[in-house]
Amino acid sequence: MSNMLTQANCITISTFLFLISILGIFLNQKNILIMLMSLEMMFLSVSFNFIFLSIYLDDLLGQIFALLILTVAAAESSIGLAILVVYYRIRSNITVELMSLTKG
Amino acid sequence: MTNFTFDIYFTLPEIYLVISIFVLLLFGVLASGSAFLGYPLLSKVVGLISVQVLTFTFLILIYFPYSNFTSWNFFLTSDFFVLCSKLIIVGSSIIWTYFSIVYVVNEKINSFEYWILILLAVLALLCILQTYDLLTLYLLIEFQSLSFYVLASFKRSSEFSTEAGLKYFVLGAFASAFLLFGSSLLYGFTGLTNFNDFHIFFTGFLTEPIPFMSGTFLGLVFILAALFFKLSVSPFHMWAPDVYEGSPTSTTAFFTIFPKLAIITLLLRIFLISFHDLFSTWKNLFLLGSFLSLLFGSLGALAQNKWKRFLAYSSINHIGFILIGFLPGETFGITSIVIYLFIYIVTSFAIFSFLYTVRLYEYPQWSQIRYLDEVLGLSKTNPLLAVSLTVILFSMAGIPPLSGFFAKVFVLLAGVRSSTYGLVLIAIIMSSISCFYYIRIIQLAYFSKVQRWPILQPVDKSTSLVLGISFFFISLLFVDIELFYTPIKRMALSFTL
Repeated sequence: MSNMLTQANCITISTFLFLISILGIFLNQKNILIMLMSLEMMFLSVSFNFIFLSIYLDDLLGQIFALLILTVAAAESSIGLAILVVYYRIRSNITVELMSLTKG
Repeated sequence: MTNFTFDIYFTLPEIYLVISIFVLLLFGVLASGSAFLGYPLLSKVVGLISVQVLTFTFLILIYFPYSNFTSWNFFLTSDFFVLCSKLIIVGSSIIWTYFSIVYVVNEKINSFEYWILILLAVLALLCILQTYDLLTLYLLIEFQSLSFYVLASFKRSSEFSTEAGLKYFVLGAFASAFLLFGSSLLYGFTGLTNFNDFHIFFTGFLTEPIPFMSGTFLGLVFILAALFFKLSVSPFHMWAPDVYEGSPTSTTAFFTIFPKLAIITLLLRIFLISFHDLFSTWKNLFLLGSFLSLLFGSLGALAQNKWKRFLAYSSINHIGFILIGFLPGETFGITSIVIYLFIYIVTSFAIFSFLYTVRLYEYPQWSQIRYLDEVLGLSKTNPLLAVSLTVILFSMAGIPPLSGFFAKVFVLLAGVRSSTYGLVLIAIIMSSISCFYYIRIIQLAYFSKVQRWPILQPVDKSTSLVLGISFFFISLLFVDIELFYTPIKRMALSFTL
């Protein structure tokens, strides 16, 4: 039984997803929508982490936590998209490099 | 206490605030959309009603029977510290709302939803003071942050405001994801989420390098990074000058004054109570955060020539001082932190009411002050305002006998008591560097040659009331400091559970 699923395996999967989404934010040179998608993916990877750990620990709290994270992440995305739409109406582009009005 | 009746009874102020927010929102939507009333402009009306709502919340808090309890199935806690902090936050929000009505009318922020968002943010801050579980922590931090994102981008026709809101949103959501990741690691390695459970669990563990302790500590570092971000501590301070500058000035005042007390209470509860056993390990992290904040706050403010960015770097500097108070890990440290925060809140009220009052006339409209140079000649145009600016800036620099000096003295005493002499020396050196740029503004107001005399708008009553009272507090605190020191010491002594 040396290939059993351990706690380290669970955490490794979701940590990889988390790191990929962080890279998605930093390697993005084009537009803000990629950033918003990467943020969603970060929340999703943490939800996976909670669910895997709750199965490993045989505890319900992780799954409840993951359900609440999903709800709040949805609300946050909608606010982020609303702010993006308001920004686009004024600037007519969503390129990351041009956001340097407040610079110093 | 898992009886539901006790839960409602003990969180009655928050329940009152929630119900009044709903009623106010309903009133605003129905009244401003009705053709019969002529589509009225409800901004000032809803502002004044929100002052009244907050006053009633304050009264409920004062007449509340005090006891230690945990409510809502061990999610929220309360003791004397929480009661006093709630009084400070609700009292400050009454003052803030009262004197921001003038600014909102002048800058033509015509939506009533601004005040609804402010009330929601105050509710979130009140509940953050009481949080006792990782789940509540995440939900309430998100609640507060969502209100703040919309508040920062409220002026939809301004490029600055929308860009500030977008930047704040991306970086704030990033920090919340870090908070979540840390919580998931803590939950995964221990199976617990309640702070009391962590307090009981971590007594007697030595910090041996076994995977269990490393994993828990990694989770703790992620949570610390997220909370340092929300507090704008270096090295996570990059968002603060941009967001503070882009937001409307009343929102900047709200960002400066209110979240600091709530999130510092959170840090105290997590690190001084739940994880006190890992003290020798996280003490170094606070030391690093404090050192970098002092360094970047002082050096950053040297290069600024706009008021709001300057105040952002100045607040980073103040947070660096406050973090020194975490280092003793005992009651004296907590006392010094709360005194510093209290004096910092009053000084912020003073400097922001100064920013509201100085409005210059460029044909054909009055506009607010933006650059540091625009206080040229203030000693001749409005000498009383120049005197109050001098006293406020001297207090921020830490010159005796003003109140800023006493705040810094207590925090540096806490640093000396914990034997971190190097950090105390660096704090003093950075304080003298920051004196330079505070006094530079006073030199601009008093001793410079003026090319064009500015035309100043007459000061409004509510702003002058706040400016006057905070000016007298700052300059006369040395007469009886025990008046505030004794209740704050009682607050720190009762910081238990």
